[in-house]
Amino acid sequence: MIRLENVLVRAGAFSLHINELALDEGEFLVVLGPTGSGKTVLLETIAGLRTPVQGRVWFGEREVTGELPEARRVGFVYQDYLLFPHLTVYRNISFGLRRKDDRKRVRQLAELLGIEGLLHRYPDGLSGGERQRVALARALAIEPLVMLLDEPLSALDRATRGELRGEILTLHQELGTTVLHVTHDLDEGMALGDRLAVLVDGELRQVGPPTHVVRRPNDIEVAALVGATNILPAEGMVPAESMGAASRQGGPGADSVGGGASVTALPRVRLVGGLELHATSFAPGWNEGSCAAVIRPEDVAVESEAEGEAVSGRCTDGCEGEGFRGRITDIRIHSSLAVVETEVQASLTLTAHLLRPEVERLGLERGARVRLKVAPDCVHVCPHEPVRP
Amino acid sequence: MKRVTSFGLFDWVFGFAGVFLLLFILIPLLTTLFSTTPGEIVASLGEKDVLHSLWVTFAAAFLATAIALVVGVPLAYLLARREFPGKNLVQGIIDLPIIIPHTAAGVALLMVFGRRGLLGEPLQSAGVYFTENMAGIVVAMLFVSLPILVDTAREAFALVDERLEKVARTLGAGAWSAFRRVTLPLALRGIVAGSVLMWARGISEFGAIVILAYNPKAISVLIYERFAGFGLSAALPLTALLLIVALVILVVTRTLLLPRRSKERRR
Repeated sequence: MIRLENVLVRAGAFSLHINELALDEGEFLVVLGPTGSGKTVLLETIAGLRTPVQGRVWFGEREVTGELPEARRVGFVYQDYLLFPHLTVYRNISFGLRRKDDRKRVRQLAELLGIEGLLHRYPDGLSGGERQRVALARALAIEPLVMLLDEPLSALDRATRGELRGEILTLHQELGTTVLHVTHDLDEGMALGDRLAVLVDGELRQVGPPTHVVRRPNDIEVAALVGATNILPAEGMVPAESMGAASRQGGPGADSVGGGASVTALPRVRLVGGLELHATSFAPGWNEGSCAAVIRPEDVAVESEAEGEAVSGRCTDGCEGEGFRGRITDIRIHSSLAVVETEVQASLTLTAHLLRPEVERLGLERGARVRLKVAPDCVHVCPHEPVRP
Repeated sequence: MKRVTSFGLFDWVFGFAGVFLLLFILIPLLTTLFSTTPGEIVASLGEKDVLHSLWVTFAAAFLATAIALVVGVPLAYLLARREFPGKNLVQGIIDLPIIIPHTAAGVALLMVFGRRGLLGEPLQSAGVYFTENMAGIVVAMLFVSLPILVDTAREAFALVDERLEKVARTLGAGAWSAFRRVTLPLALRGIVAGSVLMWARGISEFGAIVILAYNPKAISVLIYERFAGFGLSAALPLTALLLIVALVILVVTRTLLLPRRSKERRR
């Protein structure tokens, strides 16, 4: 429905280059990227607020590359709402309507967003959540071909953010509007997106279903953005057949032990420092000369040597043998999670995410000796350098 | 417990500095006011040439401001919004009248608008005169006070978030419509404030007017003429009258420019 072909946009010293990006009709695409990655430039290009120096933008069969923003019919919602401060909520919502007295449309939208009581108020008297609802209603009023949402939740407090996230999803489902939502918040991307696209330094590095992008990042920068905190530089691969010879590698105070018959047929990635891990997944473009093993923190099982009990559920069955021995260097307790840092080797620290009660139950503490286990299907090998299309 | 906002030594020191400045302005003005009597001031209002001079001055300042609004506000918008080669130069040229002595401005204007001036001579044959004419006063006022309006309007435009225009554009408004419906209303208070200041500055102009258009006498020229011809006592009632008028105008416009929606406060 919306397609960008080989688009290059310059904004001062920054440039955004999108080889190809396509949104299907009715799709909810989330673009994830850090600050300065070009998210807003991307949205403004689609809206016609910036003109590409090369490439084409299509809305269905219509090429809109040179079209003015007012001719495109896109709904644009900024992070900081940008309501017209001199107009009432009613006038804000009806701003883009041809007939200013289209009361029915304004009332419908106000009702849908739960702001019917605010229509005669001015924006400066509204809360953040109310303002963002008005901004959404104003954008929806013109029945846009696509809604472009520029971090619409990041200026809101936690509770309102959760509430509005649900409402955006409901609106999308009820109205069937195509949505392109940009954010730096992975949780938002996971909760909202049919697909997740990752934008780094003005380039789209990966597009796919959110769970796929999270589990199988294309490179280490994508991995870092999607919260895979264990990015372990590797020296190369050990083919499956040389498995037996490669067992019992590792530095002092840590070892990696080969497991049962099911894993012996798998290749192993050799980490810098000598440790080896079975791996089952490889990103396109990886090569032995420069690669890294990526492990998500929630996939690292922690076993207290004192208790002899694994606490992280996912890997208890598939984990390799005795795993890595190490010493806990830090534990950070969050509301529901605990982040456990364990030094396996002098240059190798692994991060594990455990549910907070599990840490308490096992009495894990700084300095405690533990065993870490990772299932082979949780080890993903990707290029160390980004692969540019 | 001591509140952070309570009046402390810091505020007293800063306040003292401010009071010093206020007195520096007020003492000469009040001394002038009290050196004359209300009767003399009212009597001066009855003089035909004083009334005419007031009318000429206020009308010329109004015309100069109107011209600046038409040609200066679009330029102010461009200076606030766009980057273009030579932008700093343009800004410098606009501000030039602030730093040159106004008598020098008068001489420069005479070279252009005088009887033998670059524009004055051809326009004279078309029946337009700048010397000995109100048009000359308008030109002098425009030249010296235009930077005030352009700079204030530029600041007012710069304070309006450019993305509000972008949102308006995505909602179907063209560039003109977005300017008219969003940017202009939001910058209007600043533009009006700049216009009032420009108008007031125009009224106070003397140097350029006295060289380009001595007649019809603007109020500043009339005060000078009375002072030079008849002494301090002859100039005082007129000076006091001008002070009162200026004060009333400033207070009224400031009141009108107060925020419109002060009742609805942020929650």
